Formats: sequence, C-alpha cells, structure tokens
Amino acid sequence: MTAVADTAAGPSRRRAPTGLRSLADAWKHLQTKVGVIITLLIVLVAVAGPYLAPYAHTEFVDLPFGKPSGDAWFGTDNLGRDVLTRVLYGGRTVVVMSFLSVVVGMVLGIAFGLVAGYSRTWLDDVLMGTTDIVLAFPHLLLTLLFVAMAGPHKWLIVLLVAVGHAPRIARLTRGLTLDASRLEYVEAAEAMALPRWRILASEILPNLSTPLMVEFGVRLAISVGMLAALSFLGAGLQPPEADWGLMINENRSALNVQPWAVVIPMATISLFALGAYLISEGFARAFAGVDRQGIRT
Amino acid sequence: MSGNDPAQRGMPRRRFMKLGIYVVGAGGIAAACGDDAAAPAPTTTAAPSGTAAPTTTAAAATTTAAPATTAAPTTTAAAGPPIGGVLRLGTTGAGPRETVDPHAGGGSNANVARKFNLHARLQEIRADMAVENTLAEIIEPNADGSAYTIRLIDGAEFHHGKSIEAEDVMFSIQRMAEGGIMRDVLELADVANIRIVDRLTIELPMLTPAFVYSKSWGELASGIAPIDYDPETNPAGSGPFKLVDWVPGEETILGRHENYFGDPGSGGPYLDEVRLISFSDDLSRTNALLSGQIDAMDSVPIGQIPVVEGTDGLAVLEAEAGRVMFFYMRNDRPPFDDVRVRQAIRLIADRSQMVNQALSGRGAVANDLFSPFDPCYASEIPQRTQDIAEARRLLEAAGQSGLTIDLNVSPVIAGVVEAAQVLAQQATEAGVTINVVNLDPGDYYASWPDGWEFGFEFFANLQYPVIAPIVNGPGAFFNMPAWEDQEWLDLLLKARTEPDDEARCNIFKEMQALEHERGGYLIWGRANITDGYSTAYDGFVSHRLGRSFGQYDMRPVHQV
Amino acid sequence: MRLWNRHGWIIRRLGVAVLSLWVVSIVVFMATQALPGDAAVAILGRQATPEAVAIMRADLGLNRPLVTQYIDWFGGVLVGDFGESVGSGAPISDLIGSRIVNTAVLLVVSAVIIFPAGIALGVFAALRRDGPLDRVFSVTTPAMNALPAFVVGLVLVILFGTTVWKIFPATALFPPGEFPLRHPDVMVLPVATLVLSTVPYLALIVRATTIEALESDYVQMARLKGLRPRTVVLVHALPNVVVPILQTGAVILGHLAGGVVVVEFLFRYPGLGTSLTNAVSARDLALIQASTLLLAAAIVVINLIADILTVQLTPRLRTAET
Repeated sequence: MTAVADTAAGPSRRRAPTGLRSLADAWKHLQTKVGVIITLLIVLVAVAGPYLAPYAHTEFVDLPFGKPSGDAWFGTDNLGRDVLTRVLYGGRTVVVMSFLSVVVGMVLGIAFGLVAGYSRTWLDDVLMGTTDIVLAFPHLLLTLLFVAMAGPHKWLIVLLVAVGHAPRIARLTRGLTLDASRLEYVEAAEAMALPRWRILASEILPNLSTPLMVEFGVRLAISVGMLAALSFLGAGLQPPEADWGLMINENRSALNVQPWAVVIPMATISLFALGAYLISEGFARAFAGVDRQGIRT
Repeated sequence: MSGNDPAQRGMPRRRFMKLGIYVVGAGGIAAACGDDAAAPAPTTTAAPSGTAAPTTTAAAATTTAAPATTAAPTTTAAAGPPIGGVLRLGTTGAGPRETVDPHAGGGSNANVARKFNLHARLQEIRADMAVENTLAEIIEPNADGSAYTIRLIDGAEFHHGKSIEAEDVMFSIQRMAEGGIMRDVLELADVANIRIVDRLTIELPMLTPAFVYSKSWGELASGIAPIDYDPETNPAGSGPFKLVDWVPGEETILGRHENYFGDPGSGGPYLDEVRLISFSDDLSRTNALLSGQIDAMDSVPIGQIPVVEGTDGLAVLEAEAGRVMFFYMRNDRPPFDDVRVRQAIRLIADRSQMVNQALSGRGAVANDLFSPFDPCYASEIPQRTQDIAEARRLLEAAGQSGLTIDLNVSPVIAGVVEAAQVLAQQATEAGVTINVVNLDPGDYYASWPDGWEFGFEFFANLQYPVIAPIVNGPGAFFNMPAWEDQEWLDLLLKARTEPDDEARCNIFKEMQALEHERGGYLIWGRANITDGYSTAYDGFVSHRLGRSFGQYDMRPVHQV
Repeated sequence: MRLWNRHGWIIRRLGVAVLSLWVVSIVVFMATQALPGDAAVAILGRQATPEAVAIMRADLGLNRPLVTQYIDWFGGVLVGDFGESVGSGAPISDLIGSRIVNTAVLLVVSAVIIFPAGIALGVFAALRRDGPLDRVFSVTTPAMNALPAFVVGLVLVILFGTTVWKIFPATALFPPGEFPLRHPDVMVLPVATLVLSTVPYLALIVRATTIEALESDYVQMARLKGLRPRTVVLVHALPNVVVPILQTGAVILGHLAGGVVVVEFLFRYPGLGTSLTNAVSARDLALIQASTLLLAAAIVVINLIADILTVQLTPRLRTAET
C-alpha cells in the first residue's frame, strides 16, 4: 500500500524480459493457453453474439420466467424475452467497459508511476501521497454515490472504475521504475545526457511491459467483478439494455424457478474473469520463472 | 370535493402540495391514496425485477366467484380461534422515514400496516368494497347539504383507556385536514367550525352545500386519535393493536388492544403481537419467508410465487386486479399539450401484452379510467385497444411523427419498470422512441416540483367520488397530468350538489367519458396483489381495494 | 538516527492517513450536496408553503456558501455529530450507532476465519507443491476468485437457506439493538459469503510467497545444512512470509469494508452497508455522508495499522526510502 511495501514486493534487479519475449514464454504455460481460449470464447460471444441471436433483444417471446422450450432454449427472462438472445447481446457492454476501464486506469497509473519513480524529487512524494489518498477511498461506495448523483452513464462508470485501478498500477510502476532506473544501461543513457522522456519511453517502459501485462489481467478480472457488483446493486447499466450483470439483477428473484436467466450470465462473467486471471498467471510464471501467482497486492 | 374553485387554486399551490407529499412521503401517492406497496424510499436501487406485488395469473389460483375472497376466515364455531401467538410480517419499509403518525405521509407498506392496525376509522371499506360505519354510528348530511352530523358508537376506548368521544373526532378531523390527501377530500368542509353537539356527536359544517361525505371516512389517513395525541410522547391509538415498541426502518412491535371496540366482521384481534419487519430488498424478504424467519409477507415477487406456492407450510393469497397501474402525460407542456399526442400514446399501448409481460399475466387490462369497482364506473365505454395506424395518423396530424421522449420510472413496485420497457418496445412500431429512465425512488419523487412530462404512478381502487377530484380536479393534489378541463369541472360541481344517488352517478359517467376522450392518464392495467403466509396462521383477508392482506387487517388472523 | 527515521516515517504515515480522511470527507460532502432534491422540502413535507421552505432553508443554513456549510458539517463530524436524518429528524448517531457495531462484528468474525484458513491453505499447498492437492487448488482457487461475492451469496442462500436444505437463516434478522453474536445462526451465511469470496485470494498469495521464500537462498542453505524440513519452514520460511501477508491482509480487509455493502444488502444485515444503500435510495444526505465516511475511516485505519506493523516487522525497511 505504501512505498515501503512496493519495493519489497518488487521484482529483482535483473533485466526483465520484454513484451514479445515474455509473450512467447508465457504461451508455454498451460494456464495461458486455457486462459486465452476462455477469454477469446467470451469475447467472441460478445462480439458475434448479436448476429447469431434468434430474436431481437427486446422482443417478447413468452410469459416472464418461462421454462426452456423449443422456442427459447434457455427459457425467458423477467419480461418474457429470450434468455439466449439476451446473453448473446449482453456481453458487449461487459467486455468493452471492463477493457476500457483497465486501459484508462493503466494509462493514468503508468503515467503517475513513471513520473514519480523517475523524478526522485518532491513530485514523487506528491504523486504517491495522492495515490495513498485515493487508495483510502472506499471505492465501491464512492462509485455508488457518484452514480446515484450523476446518473448511470457508461462513461462515468468506466471512469470511476478506472480511477480505482490507477493507484495500485502507479505504485507498481513506480517501484519497477525505481529498480529499472538503477540498471546499468539506464544509468548509461543518463550519462549520455539523453532527454528524460526518451529514457522513460525507450529504456524503462519496455522493461516494465511484462509485469504490467500481469497486472492487466488481474485488473481486468477485478473490473468485471466490480461492474457486476454495481449492476447487482442497481447502479450499473439500466434496462432495457441487455447486459450480463443487469440480467443477474433482473432475474435473481426467480433464481430457483428459472435459473438459466441468472446462471448463464453468472457463468459468462465468472469465465471472463477467470480467463483474465489465468492469462496473467501465465505471464507471471513466465516472468518470474517461479511458481509465483499473478496476483499481487 | 376538492378544487371547486379553480380560480383560487393556481399552479403554485398545486405544485406545492405535490412537492410536499412526494418528497416527504417518498411515494406520496401511496401515502395518500394508500397504496400498500408503495414502499418507495427504501426499495433500494436494486430490484427492478424483484419488487413485485402484482402477480398470480388470472387463470391460476384465485379468481372464482367472490373477488374479495376472505381466505378461510376463521371457524367461529363454538370455541372460536385460539388467542395468542406472535406474527412476524415482512413488509417494505421506508428506512428512517417511517412514521407512526396516523395522518402523516409516507406510504411505505410498513406505514400503511401501522396506520390500519394502530388506528380505527369512522368507517371501513369492506372486502366487497361496501363502506360501512364502524366507529361511527351515523354519518349523514342535513337536508340542504350544509352540514354533516357524525355520531359515534358508545363504549369504544383508546389504547390508553380514554373513551373515544366527540372531542377526539373533532381533533382528528382537524389534524387530518392539515395536509395530505384528506386536505383535498375535506376541502368543502369547514373544519375550523366543527361543533360538539354532545359527548358522542359532532356537527361538521360545509363551506358550500355538499352530499359527498357520507362514505369518505374509511381511508388510509383518516384514523381517529385521542385529543392528547402526540406521535412522540403519546402515540395512543384506537385500533386493534397498540404500539409496544418500534425502531424506524427496522421493526415495529404491535400488541393486542384488549379493549378494542370490536368489529362486526371478525371477533379479533387474536394475536398477542404483530411484528412488522421492514426490508429493502424483496428477494431477501422472500428468502426470510422461505426459511421461516417471518410468517407472512406482502407482495411476493412474481418470480417467487411458484416457489412460495410449492413450499410446504406456505400459501399465497391473491387479490384480483387490485392495484391500478398507470403512466401520466403532462397536459401543460409539449408534446402532450396536444390531445392528439396523448391519444396516440394511449393507442400505442397493447395493454394485454403489458399485463402479460410486465405482470406475468397476473392482472387485468384497464381502460384509462379509475375506480372499476365503483357502482358508478362507466363500464359501457368500449375498451381501448392498440391501433398503431391511428396512432401514426394522430402523431402526423400533430406534427410529432418520430417523437422521442423520456419516460421516468422507478422500481417502487413490481411491474412499473417492466411495463415502461414493454411500452417502449411497442412504441417503436409507431416510430416513437420512448427512453425509459430508471431512477432511484428518492430521485423520482425528489425531483417532483417540476414533475415529469411522462411518469408513472399507481393507486388503490378508491371510489370514484373520492378519486376523481384528487386526480383530475384542477390544481388538485394528485392531478399529475395537470389536466384542467372546464367541462369536466362543471360536471363535478353539479355532481357534488346533486342529492339523488342515481342522477349523481350519471354525471360521474359523463365525466369518465371526458377523461377517456381527452384525459392525461394512460391507465393500462390493474395488478393482482399476492401475499404469502405460513399456514400455521389462518384468517388472512384479501381485498380488491388494492392493499395487501385486506388493508393489513390483522384482526381475524390467528394461530391454527 | 535509526529511531528518528522510524518515528518520522510513522508520523508521516499518520499524516497521510489524516489527509486521506479529510479529502474523503470533502468528496463525500460535495457529492451529496450535488444530489438532486432539497433538504428543506424533505423535512417540511406536505405542510410546506414557499415561505416555510424559505425559513427552513435559512434555518438549515442552506443559503450559505458551500464552504461554510462544509466547515460546519465537518466541525460536527469531528465531535461525533453527523447531523440529523432528513427522513426522521433523528440524530444520525442514534440511527447508526448499533449499525457500526454490527458491521464491525461481521468484519471481525469474518477476518478471524479468513486469515487462519487462507494462510493454512496457502502454506499447505506450497509445501505439497505440484502434488494432487496443489493441482486441485491451482484450478479451483482462481475459479472461486473469479466469482463475485454476491454470486457466492446467492448460491449459498439457495443451498443452505431456502431451496435445497433449510439449515441456516436466509436473512440476518434479529431484534434491533441486540448484539449480533447473540444470534450466531443469522451470522453464518453472511460470514460464509465473505469468507468464501476472500479466502481463495489470500491463499493464492500465501502460496506464492511461501514458494518464493522456500526457494530463497537462505532457506536452501538451511536445507543444505541438514535442518529438518519442519524447522526450515517454521523458523526460516514463514517469518519472511509475514510482511507480504500483512499487506495482503490490509487489502482484504479494505475489500471487506467495501464488500460488506453487497453482502449486507443481500442478507438484510443491519449494518452500515444497508444503511448506506437505503440512504442513497431515499436521498437521505446526512445518512449517506456518515455511512460513507465511517466505512472510509475503517479502511484508512486498517491500512495504517498494516503499514505500521510492516515497518515494525521489517528492520531493513525502517530506514528505507526516507
């Protein structure tokens, strides 16, 4: 959580494998393969789903909570719409919003972390102080509050989830940057009086790529869970949108009558999170060379 | 009754009253018109699907003959039902906003349940919708309608032992006229000049002659409280149960009132205690019933009805078509200031699809009119059905083809958000885009002062003479569409001073024809009310008025 | 010198904690003030006339600049006065006093189970690395980890509360004001939900750090010296695992403090989380402010304690970085 801890948990001094190398290394691990297959499958459902759906996502097929039948293989939801169709339509928002929130969070976090880690001045203290403060925020609570205040806009939800990711990514990046900037070749580059931004971009960032890829997977899984929790509390996407998290919320009252409308979106959400975890674990193993799991604090 | 002089009641006042009730009561309508399920404030954002009162397929269980089925009311043979027992009733609460005040707003189910059990009324609306005197012995106008005489039965007692007398009734009527729905109802009455005739009798003078107060005393906010009443320090009531203890938003303990004056319909109360337990999430409420932590719950979510029915030791009580479900359109603002646009929206609605998809078929279609069980209901007006071609034609004539509009809703009660989605889907056929805006209850009601162009509400099945001035009278409390129609108003004034019942009824029917032809409501259906209970208890009553457990009537309930 | 550094660090860390809380209070206050709805109207209700609303607004100080309002409110908070509930007019402290206790009990009971269970599982899996149990563990824990807490809760309710077996109460109902531990049965499912949704995460980390420690040079050295495996683990490996676990523990407790919102909502547990969700839906501003601030304070304090312990337990870190 604080500066102390991150350096403690930081990587060793050796030069880390860069992005492409570690991609190849990671692929050797079973976790990565399984993770990639699962993730691709979910993304495929999300992207291609709407074209395969037997009905329109707002079309009424049967009475609400209808049992599975020839017309609706997995029954109907709380409004009598086809569950399969809703599932096929409902992945896009989850996939896109979770990816976007991690990307935004990483961009913010990496920028903060790089500057803090490399500046070694008061700026470091200020930036890391800021992340400490943001870390102290009860993230889910404030997200709930802001969504209640400003309305459940998708951009707002993405931004709020992203802001929650940023501090930890910033801390990780800073720790790695501190380590990397002590490496000989970086010191050499400094000695050659190369501009700082070039050293950051060309020497340090590639060196961070693998641990950040590990982090990406972890963060993606967290995003998925967070978006689902928001939908569960009613502060996520709003009807009549088809969305996995919203489906769970809309149909949970009939979980023991028409379980499919809840169980399938639960499964797709959990699989998506699982896939992200496994990929990041594969990277972690490739990177650390030991059995270290890809989950860090 | 209300709004007889529109000139005096401009916009400001109307707005203001609305504002007040909505904000406070979080679910104002419920508050006033007494809708049980109102439940607003608390509902928590979550459960659009969950809520749920309506229910039970028309085809399924109940139905049969008597619409107002009393569920196996006792077997008052020789011994009578056993005395004793504690019934835990799970309802939707209003969080810290809950109140024990018999006349205050706040229409959450928990509030409604407390109001009906803590305080008796001069009259009661029976399960067959007939209004009978209970605390009152006589309520009648004099020959020219300039005053009403109200006489109490003798021997009734408050919880703290004081006998119920004329001074208490005067105090209560004046207190209820201070605000809420009873203010509009009592608008023709000169409550400041009530005269105590004798120990049990008062005379209630009228500001203008009126003949419509003979049956208006059984409503939610018309409980009788003692003259020394204070909600904080002396919350004594007159009802079958007295307040033992309560924590707002969590639990209320009601104890049997041993000296309850009795009720001709039931011998109760029998239970030692009724514990009202407030929930904010309908699913956890249902889970509590299923796992035996509560003995009864109002408004079982639609999806859970089969589960409750299929569980040993539990049963579902269904009241047919009790709750009036509707959307309203603001007449004073575009685009609905054009009657053609209002009619087009009414024609877009496929009501039977709305009942099927939003209420799971547990309800009935409605015809843009209130009070279907009133003797003066205009049943001869043909049922409006979907007519997309005509809707398109009207919209085009009004220059509103391709109209896009927000419909504001809140998961205050099951079927609302769902019905809005169904309507939005139907509207696409007519080239109309309806954006469903799903708000937290607090937000939906807090934004009231300006109202919504297009919003929702729901009512109990009140009698037409009570509801008409409230929902359509110019400047009236719940005139949400801000509909002001001179022809309609003239008829209302005529009806109020008409002493003959049948002639008055005919005037009421003319008024309904106007509402159907150009009003601001899309009244699409009536939802069944389904309550769940443990079969270790018996005597629950169902009531087509539109409140759970026959207005939370716990008097006949007893252990098996 | 060393002592001074350590104290300096702790003071700085305390400063950050206080600063965090202060910023949270500003954010919460501003966010709630921007919510739609007028507190004056909410209090007056249906008796309201424009004049009365104007007077009430003045009484409540709603006409003053936001900064002044904030200073007043924050001054109250500092002495434990969170204002009054808009809905009931009751002081907030009356409304949430017992809820603070309830939430704390839920968190503590869960933590007491989570930490031993997670550490034991993780160490065990690390010692039997690549054994059959570890393999099962490696597959199931990430899968469990991927399940959102409310999914775990929904499934537990169906399994043990309502549909399959009726063993435990499906909702946390107990008389208001009573101490929750007097009703241990109602605690079972909420606690189980929190435990099951956090133990896999903790166990994964413990396993990874233990493996790292076991492979470190000095543990290898101890092994070469011929020490018994148990001694190696207890004396050499475990102490090196403590710090990462502390930090993970703080993260987990932080997650719990936020995650209780979902679990309390699901089980109607009368704690700060349900008080917050109810307040948000009823737009009871003072109640929202108090609930959020208290949960934030809990997270800040947990992090603070974990960091201070970390520094106390790690000699080489005491002087680092400062």
